[in-house]
Amino acid sequence: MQAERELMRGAGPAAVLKLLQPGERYAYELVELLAARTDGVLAMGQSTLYPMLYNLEGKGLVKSRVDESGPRPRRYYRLTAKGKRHLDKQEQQWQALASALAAVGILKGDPA
Amino acid sequence: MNTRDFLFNTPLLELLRGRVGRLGWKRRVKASGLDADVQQTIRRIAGQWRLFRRERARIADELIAHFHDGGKLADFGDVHAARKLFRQTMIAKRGWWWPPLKMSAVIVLLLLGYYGVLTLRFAIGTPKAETDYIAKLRGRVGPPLIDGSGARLDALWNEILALGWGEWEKSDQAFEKPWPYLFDGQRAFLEEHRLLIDQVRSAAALPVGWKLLRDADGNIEPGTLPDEQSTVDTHFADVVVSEINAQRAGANILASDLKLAAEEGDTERALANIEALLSTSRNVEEVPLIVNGLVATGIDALTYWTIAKVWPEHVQHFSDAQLQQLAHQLASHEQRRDLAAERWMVLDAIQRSYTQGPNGYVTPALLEQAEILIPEHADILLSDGLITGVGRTRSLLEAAPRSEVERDVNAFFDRAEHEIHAPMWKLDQMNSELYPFDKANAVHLLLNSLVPHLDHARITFIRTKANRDGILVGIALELYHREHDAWPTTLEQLVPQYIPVLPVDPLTGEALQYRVTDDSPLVYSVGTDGDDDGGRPAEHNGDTSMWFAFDPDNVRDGDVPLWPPVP
Repeated sequence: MQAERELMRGAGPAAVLKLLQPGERYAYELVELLAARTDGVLAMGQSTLYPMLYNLEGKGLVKSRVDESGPRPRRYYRLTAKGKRHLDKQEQQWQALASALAAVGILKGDPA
Repeated sequence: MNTRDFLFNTPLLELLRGRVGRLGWKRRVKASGLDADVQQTIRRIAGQWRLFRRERARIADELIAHFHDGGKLADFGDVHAARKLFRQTMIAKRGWWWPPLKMSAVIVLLLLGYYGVLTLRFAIGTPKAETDYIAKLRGRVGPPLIDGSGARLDALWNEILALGWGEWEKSDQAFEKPWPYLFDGQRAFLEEHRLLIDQVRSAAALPVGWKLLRDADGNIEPGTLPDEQSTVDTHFADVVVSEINAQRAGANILASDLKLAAEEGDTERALANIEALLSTSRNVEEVPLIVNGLVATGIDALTYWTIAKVWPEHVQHFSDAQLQQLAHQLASHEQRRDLAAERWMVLDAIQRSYTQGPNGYVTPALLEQAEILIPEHADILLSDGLITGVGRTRSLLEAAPRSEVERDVNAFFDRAEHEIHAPMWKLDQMNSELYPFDKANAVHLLLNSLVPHLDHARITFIRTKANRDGILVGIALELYHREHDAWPTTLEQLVPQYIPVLPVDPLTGEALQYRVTDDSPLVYSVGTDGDDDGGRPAEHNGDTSMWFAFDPDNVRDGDVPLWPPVP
């Protein structure tokens, strides 16, 4: 099942930032990770990911660099300090949201 | 590599196109080895004109890598929506500097576009002369010469000119000397050419006289302008310059002969010379140019001074009837000063500089007109980069539209024609300050440069009329004295039997001053200082002539004698 567009608007960037937390990744890697780890729930149209990355880069949350050591140039993205702070905030907010949703019975089980 | 790639995608051409290094993304898409439809998708998304070249290259490189890494076109999403999303986010991430830069660029482009339109408009603007001002002039100059005798008179003038600028000038007696003196050489000339001078006198005295105008080639044409010149194709300024030197030369000969006739007691010939002189003046003045007015006034002044010169010794030779005839000749010789030809000349220059209609705008032809009319000022237009050079389009913005310029020109001439007739007691000086002046506008330049000349001309007219008025009073006094064997006690006693109306003081508008000293009458103006100094002439560096007495800028102590005139 794929999340609706409205839900994805908030969850997508947070998921991308989270995936970048361990270290830098290139775009297609993110596409695959999103599809694999979320069982397709957060799999987004591949054409949507790049604009999202540009947007995060424009806000200073991620930075990119081009690696030309391979057979073709590949652009890697990584979190900035600002991006890390933003991700922390996002995690707290999503946590609070999940608790609230569980409290009203939308989420099953205890999210905590 | 196919032929097209060889021709259009060589590294050198890429360099020349500014696609240095990584910016040559299209080549990399082509060389990526991806399927044609994938390449097409990449080109559609990356190749958007609103993106910078480096932004296009970045998108292309990322998408090449994406599809090489395993991305499928089927999973990519709607290409049309992707194009928009890629473009919007890429532009949004440019930073704070982009919106103001974009706005500035738009403004600059709009201004450049506007300037381009103006340049085109300026370049294709073509003036078209629609009013035949030469026909107007022909209407003013009057009918052609009497009974087709133009050729004879033309030959006569040429002979006089040849004599005037030849023999006589060599004898150091130039014709244009303002008053005649009879030297031996002149006397001999006059006697030798008596027949010729009789012809000159007869012709000059005719009411239609000689009207000599230069044609477009500079040839002297007797009579009115020939029909073929009466066309808007001929510039007004090229034909309007009348051949006044010939009339001036003729007038000097007639004035000299007037003096000789008086000395010889030939009063009939003297009066005929005066009539011919006054007629010559009127003929010169028929061309309504201020320069003609000045030359006509010069001829009048020459006539009056010659009369004054011969008066003391030779007046007794003139009968009462002859003096009355002379008074009538002088009184009916009115100055008619207007600036019609100047106005036409300027309006003609405008119609040859601006496009048609009230919204007509200036064209490069303005410079040509400026060089014809005001060559000494045309360089201002050049040095300013107006009309010529890269800034020429600026003329459209700086030069007033045709309707405005024509309005200013007409207002200028309306006022100038009014002021040039104003007496000294109503107007000290023509008002130059209010005339429009704009260095970007050749017409205004021309107008501005006219003002001092106009004021000078006006004072000359007033002074010369005062000469004439003095003689009229002098004739009346002489006739009174002949009848009563005494001078009148007041000038009012002369009216109406000896003079219909007494002239007024040319400087104050009040009654003229009059006194008799040592059995000699003295008629005078109180002068620029406005008080009666008993007839003592105002002085300027020892010069007591009327020449300096009318200068409103220099108020002088003393009076201005009108009769007998101070030589």
